[in-house]
Formats: sequence, structure tokens, C-alpha cells
Amino acid sequence: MATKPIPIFEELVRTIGRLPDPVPRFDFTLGWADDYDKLFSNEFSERSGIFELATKSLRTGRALLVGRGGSAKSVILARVAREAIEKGILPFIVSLKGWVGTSYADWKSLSNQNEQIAFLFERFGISGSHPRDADALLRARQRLILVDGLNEVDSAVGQQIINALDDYARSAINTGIIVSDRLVRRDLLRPERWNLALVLPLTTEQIESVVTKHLGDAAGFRHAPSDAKALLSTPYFLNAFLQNGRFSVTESGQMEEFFRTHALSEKDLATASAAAFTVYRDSTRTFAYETFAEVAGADTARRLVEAGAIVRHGQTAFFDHHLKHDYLASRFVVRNRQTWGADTFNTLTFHGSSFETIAMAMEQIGDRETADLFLRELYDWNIYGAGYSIAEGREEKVSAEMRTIILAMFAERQWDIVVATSNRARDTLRLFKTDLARTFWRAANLQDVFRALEKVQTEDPRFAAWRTLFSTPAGTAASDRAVAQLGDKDSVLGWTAANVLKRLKLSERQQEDVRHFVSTNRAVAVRWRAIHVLGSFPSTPNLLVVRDQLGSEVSRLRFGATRSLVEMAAFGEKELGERIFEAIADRVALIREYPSVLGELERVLLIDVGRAPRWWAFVAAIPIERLRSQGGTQDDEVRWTRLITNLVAVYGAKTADGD
Amino acid sequence: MANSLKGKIGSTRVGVLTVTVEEFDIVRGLFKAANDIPATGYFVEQLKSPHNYDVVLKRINQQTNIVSYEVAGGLLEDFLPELVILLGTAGGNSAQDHLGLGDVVVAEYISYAGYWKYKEGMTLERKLPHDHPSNYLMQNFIEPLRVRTDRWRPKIKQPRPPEGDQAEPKMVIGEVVSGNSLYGDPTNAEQRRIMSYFDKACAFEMEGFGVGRAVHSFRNSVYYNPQFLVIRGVSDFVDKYAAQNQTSRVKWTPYAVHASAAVAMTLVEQYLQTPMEEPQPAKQEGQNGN
Repeated sequence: MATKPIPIFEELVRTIGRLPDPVPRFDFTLGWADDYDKLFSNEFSERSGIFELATKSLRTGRALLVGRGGSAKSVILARVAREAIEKGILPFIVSLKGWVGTSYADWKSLSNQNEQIAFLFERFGISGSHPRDADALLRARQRLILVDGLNEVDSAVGQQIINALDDYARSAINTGIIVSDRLVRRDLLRPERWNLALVLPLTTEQIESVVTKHLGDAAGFRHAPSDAKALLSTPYFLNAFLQNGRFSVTESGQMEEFFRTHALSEKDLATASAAAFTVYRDSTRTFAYETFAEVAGADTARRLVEAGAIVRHGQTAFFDHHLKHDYLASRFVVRNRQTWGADTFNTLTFHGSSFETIAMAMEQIGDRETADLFLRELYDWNIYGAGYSIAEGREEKVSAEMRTIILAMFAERQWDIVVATSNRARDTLRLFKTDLARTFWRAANLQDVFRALEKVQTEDPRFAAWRTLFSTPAGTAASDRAVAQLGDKDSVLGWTAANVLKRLKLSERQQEDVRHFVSTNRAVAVRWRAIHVLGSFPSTPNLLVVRDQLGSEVSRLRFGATRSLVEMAAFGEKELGERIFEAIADRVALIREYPSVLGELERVLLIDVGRAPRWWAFVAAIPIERLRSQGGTQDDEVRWTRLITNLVAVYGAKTADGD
Repeated sequence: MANSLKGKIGSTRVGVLTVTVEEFDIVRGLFKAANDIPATGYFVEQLKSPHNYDVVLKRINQQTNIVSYEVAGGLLEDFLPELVILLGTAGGNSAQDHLGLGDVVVAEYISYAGYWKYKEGMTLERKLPHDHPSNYLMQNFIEPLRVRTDRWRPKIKQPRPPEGDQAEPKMVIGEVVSGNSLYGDPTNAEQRRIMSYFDKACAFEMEGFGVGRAVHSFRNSVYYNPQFLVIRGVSDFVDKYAAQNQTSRVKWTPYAVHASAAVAMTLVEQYLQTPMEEPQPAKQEGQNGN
């Protein structure tokens, strides 16, 4: 069989040429940050045009393009691909927007990174060509791999994908990888080799220029409310404004405008919203059209297709922009208060992968009382989801007291012994643009937080009571009332009690009361809070009670128990630490049943170096060794060996003879 | 003259890796790698712009195969070397080939001793893909050096400790076992199990597998064919003298490093005499130039 040259360049030109190139064309600016901390703080070491993505990724192998929904990440990647072609670089685009429910099962069946990379290219590559087809050109041609939409999959798979891409970038010669993602912190295997870029909002001058050019006059924009102007700094919404000349002050308002104008009545919106939420249950944006139509009604579904909101490919379909899908799904949740709870929030956010739908839901709530209630429900599910729902300018949706409470909770977490928790708390605080958030962020210790809270003016007696509880100095004796508040139906008070109790002195009787909550309380949230408290009180009775929760039928309790046991070990003596980790090791099969719990175990072992006992690496490695010894995929082996090595590198593990 | 494929930083024909500070300092001196490429940890004889070198040296800053995998992977990514050499010391198995302290073991193949499944009283070996040392280098460079010890022995400048069983070091080619534990106690049950399982092993160390795995991960194109070697000086025995193990290691390490470095230096000198690949002109295909 003769070898024939592959016309790869022509094929790529055709593929890239088919990508949409929306008009009007906006000029995008990227802000480059040295690390995630600086990215979250908007501290940029450099600003550039978009092709710098290609330049930097070809230099170090990896670039991450981060932006909010609607910030035109896909458009930017397509434009970079076009420019690459012009410069003789070969671009290959992998779009994760085609990820469907069954993709998760397929992904899970892959046993190593070679298989994962092949899966990504074969299943989600948009071109008929594969990077291997350009191997013969590798001395003469550079390759770009552009992976669009890491946020389209749940956080666990997203992390695995970025790890696989990192390893691929390592050995792919003359190749740069660019990944687009939302603004979430990923654990990068080799952070020093990643270039992090944020899509900066369009400037007022840019917007005025575009508006003048396309509508003839920018007066409407100049006199618009500040919220509306802020919204138009996002390309998607500016584009929508240019299309219909109307603007809203919120993303959800803009979306509702679209649906009402183009397709749907109030009743249609209700059924379409229910359908949009239903098809998010698979944690994918691509869904079975029939499933959607069954809930929305065939006529409503058809009108959405005709309006261009839903793109149909045979049996499957997806919204032309995920913000439309997000809006409908969040609309359903806002209008169905009885559904508020962990299951619903997990569906809406792909199990905590993306909180933008939560933010959209918050936008749609009209009164502060309901917003406060929504926030409290979120708080019982995921503190970070609660934080994000009122960040980035949505602070005013809830009462001043509520946002102070939420911020204070994050402020205290800055000093959490678990590194990942501390990082995430700081990330969330940085998303708030208020003076109080900045004060908390800059606080040197918890006393500074207390002092800032004292200055908050309020006439709300509930806030005053909360402040008294929260400001209890560390090391003082806990009151029985504080212990009883663990069972409070109000999630904020209950969790505040849990967080405060962790830093107080609890008598043995009080600890027994807390254990009683764990063993007998019917409310999952209350049991979780009590488990959380016990993490700060290392003892055999506490170990036994928390240990048993590793077998709970509720994943959140296993999650909480895993974390509390590790905390207990960190705060206790070596002998207890060994018993704790042996207990965890004996139950790794239970931990493995939920990826989120396994991920939590992996995360919480990495604690603040300054507070880690000197024997930490030896003991913390016990369950990880057990995981290794149980076998698994090659990736599992690498994952656990890497973690053990990391533990040894960070916390040390000297042998008797000093080697 | 460096090779024609370029990594993220530049190119080199040979990449040399060592582990401990002591090994690194000795090898850096012998290879005259006095200058570091800023903020990279790589050392070269003389900085160049662009970064095209004959030899680049880096230390693997911690034992275990995961770390050596990372560092070797970084070296490959940054320079795409034609050849990677892992240099240093190892625990020897005195029962193989009359191995003595200060002898040089060159790995013919690597066995990984860090991946087992413990199930119902059984210990099952598990495997991960990795490269074995280069047949090309073994045939054309190492085997001749095994025979012609006069080519490398004179390069050993470190005085030989007097307690050895033999007057001069020899080279042994054979199995090297690479695990994630130090084998410093011949009475330890797990160490004895490992030694019994790999009964033909000449030496035991903790980094060779990681380097082999990194090289294997770069074997994903027909156009790049990296070669690697593991060269280890014997600083102590894993099968006897439990009480003296640490003393032996302290006493013999400098000599063992010098001996392994002498072999490596001779090999590198000879290797650099071989012509490098001709640079390929860019192919012109189609209207857009590909």
C-alpha cells in the first residue's frame, strides 16, 4: 500500500473556516496572571491581544483561557485558530460542548491518559484530522490543540481532563495546548508551566465605539444604568443589545427578554424551564431532544428550535448558548421553592462545577427576604455556592446583615488548616468588590475580623445575636446554648455554631452532646455540622462516632467525616493519628464509592505546613498506600504514588539513618 | 553542536540526571557544568543563546520514581535530548557477578518494585509501561567500555577506600531494580521479599524506573527516538552487612559516584563524536506551504 500525503492543511482550513465568526467583531484583551491568586484578584502582569494565547502556549506548552459565561471564549479560540492557520500553524479544536450523559460512563471506563487523550480527540475533535496526522511535519510546523469548554463537564472529570492534557503537553513536540474554562481554581500538575489568562471585560470606549458604529448613536448606552453598562461589557450581552436595541440590567433579564420576544409566553416559559432543568440532570449541556420536548411540550420545543435557541442534531440537541439553558434551568428553580435543597442545587451546578446558574437564580429573586432564604438553603448545601451567589455585584440582592455573615464565614476559613479550603476561601472573598470583603481579605488574624464586625451598624437583633456568637474568642469555654444551636433550623446559625465551637473548649459532656447529634439527629445538615465540630476534638470516642459516618448512606456525611477525621489526626497525637488513618484505610472502599469523597480525602491530607505534625507524611500516607495496594487503573497508581510523594516532599519523612 | 529537534527551552544531545547533592556536585565538577540557565535548575558548561547544548545537567531533587519521572519528563520537554543518562549510586547485590563496592552497574533492564497488589494473602506484581535502557547504547558504547576498562578507569580521580575486596572497579551489566523504598536493612521482611523476587538483580535504587517511564511517555512519535541509560556506582550492599550499611555508604559514595561518572563521561565523549542528525528542510506542500 502506497503512502499518500495527507492534505491536512487544507482540511484544517476548511474546518476552521466553518466555525462561526460573529459580527460585529469585538477586540478582546487578555489579562495575564502569574497564578490563580492573582487571577482572582485581577492582578495582571501583562495585557495582550488574543494571539498571545498561541505564542505563550507554544513557548511553555500550556495556556488556560478563563472567562465568565458569555465572555466569548469559544469565539476567541476560533479566532486564534484562524490566525494560526494564517501563520502556518496547525490548529486542532476539541469542543467539550458535545459531552453527553453517556460520555461520563465512557470516560470512567478509560484506564490511562493515552486512552483519555484519544477519547477527547476522537469523540470531540471538530476536524477530520488528528494531531498525529501532522507528525511528519513536526520539525517544520507547530501545532495548537485548542480545548474548548472544560467547564462543560463536572469538576472531577474536568480535573482529570486537565491532568491528561498537561501530560500530553509535556511530550507533544512543537505543540501548544490552550484550554478554555470558567473562573474556577484547578489543581494544576505543573502550575509553573501554565500561562493563565482572563478575558477582560470590554471597555466603555470599546462599547461606545461599537454601539455608535452599529446603531448610529451611543446616547442610549451612555445614559443606561450602571448595571446595564456593566452587563454590556460582556460580549454576549453587548451582541444581544446590538441585535434588538434593548438592554437589561441583569443576565437573566436579558435572557427573559430574548425568550419573550422570540418564542415563548409565560406558560411556555414555565414548561421550557422545567424541561431545561430536567435535562441538566445528566450534568451535560447536550441532551435528548425528545426528553426536552416531552417536558416542555412539542410545540414549545419546536418554537425554540425555530427561534434558533435550540440547535438540533438528530436525536440530540443543545442550546445555541449555554447561558440560555442556564437561564431556563435557574428560572425553574427560583419558581419552585419546594425544590430548594442539595439535589436541586447539584443538578443546577453539575455537582458544584459551575456556580453561574446559582448566580442567575439569585438575580431572578425579587425580594431580600426570599433572597436571604435562598442563600440560607445554599449555605446548607455548599458554602462556596452561597458565596458566589451574592458575589460580583450581586451583594445587594440580600440584606446587608446576610452578606456580612457570609463574608465573615469565608474570612475565618482563610486560616483553615486544610490548604485547599484556605485557598478557596480567599478566592471567594476576592470575588466580592466591597470594602468589608477587602478588610476581611487583608485581615491578619481572626481578631481583625472581629474588630471589623464590631463596626457594622445594625438594628437587626438576629444579626446582633449572630455577631455575639461568631465573635466568641478562641479557647473560651463553650456554652451549652452554643452546642444546642448546632441543631438550629436556620442553616446560618447552625453552621456558625459549628464553626465557632471548633475553636472553643468543649467539656466531655458537651462533646458527648455533639456526638449525640451525629448519631441520632434526623437532619442530615445537623449531623454534618456536628461531624464538622468533632474534627477539632481528637479523642477515641469522637474518632469512633465520626468513623462510623464513613459508612453513611448520605455522601455529604461521608464527605464531612473524611475531612473531620483528617483534622482530628492533625490536631491529635501520633498514636491517635495512626489509628485514625488506619480506620480510614480500612474503609477506603466506602470512600471510593463517591468520587467527591475520594477527592476530599486527597485534598484534606495537604494541610498547612506550619501546623502539620512532623510525623504527618508517614501517617497520612497510610490510607493512600491502602488505595494503591488495592490496585486499579494505571492512572490510579500514578495518582496515589504522586500524592504520597507530595506528602513526603512537603512534610518530610526522614528514615532512621537520615536518608 | 546540538540536535535538530527543539524542546521548550532549547536542545541538547545529552541530558544527565543525578539525585543527591553529593552526586550532583561531583558530576557537575566532572562535566564542568558551572553555569546555570536562570530559574530552571539546568546546568551547562557555557550559556548559549539560543539554548543549544551538547550536555545539560540537572539534579532530581528528591528520591523516588515519581520525582525522577517529573524531572526527567521536564528535561525531555525542555530540551528533547537524544540521550538521557541517570547517574549516581545504588545498593548492590554482592551475590551477582562478584559485585564489589565501587563497581559500576549499568542497567541492562529495569524492574519496577513499587507496584504490587496485596490480595488474599498473595502479593501480585503489577506493571506500568516504561522504556528499558537503550540497546543502541549498550551495544555500541557500554559493552566496549565493559571490555576496555582502561578507557574509563583513569578518569576516576577520587582515591579508592582501602577496604574493598578488589583493587580496581569493574563494570557489570545486568538487572537494576527500581522501587520507592530505601533498601538499607537486609533483615527487613519486605526488603528480603523484594530481593528474593528479583533474584537476578545486580543493584537496587529509586529513580531508574521514573526516568524510563518518562522516556517511554515521549515515545509518541516516529520522529523522536530518545535513548536512556542508568549507570550506578555501588556504595553499599543490600544483601549483607546490615550493621555497616550506612557507614559503607558514607565511605564509598564519593568513589562510587566518580566511578559511574567516569563511565558516563567516557561514553558522552564518544557519543558526541558521532554525527548528529542532518537538519531537515521544511517541507513545502500545497498552497499554504505545508
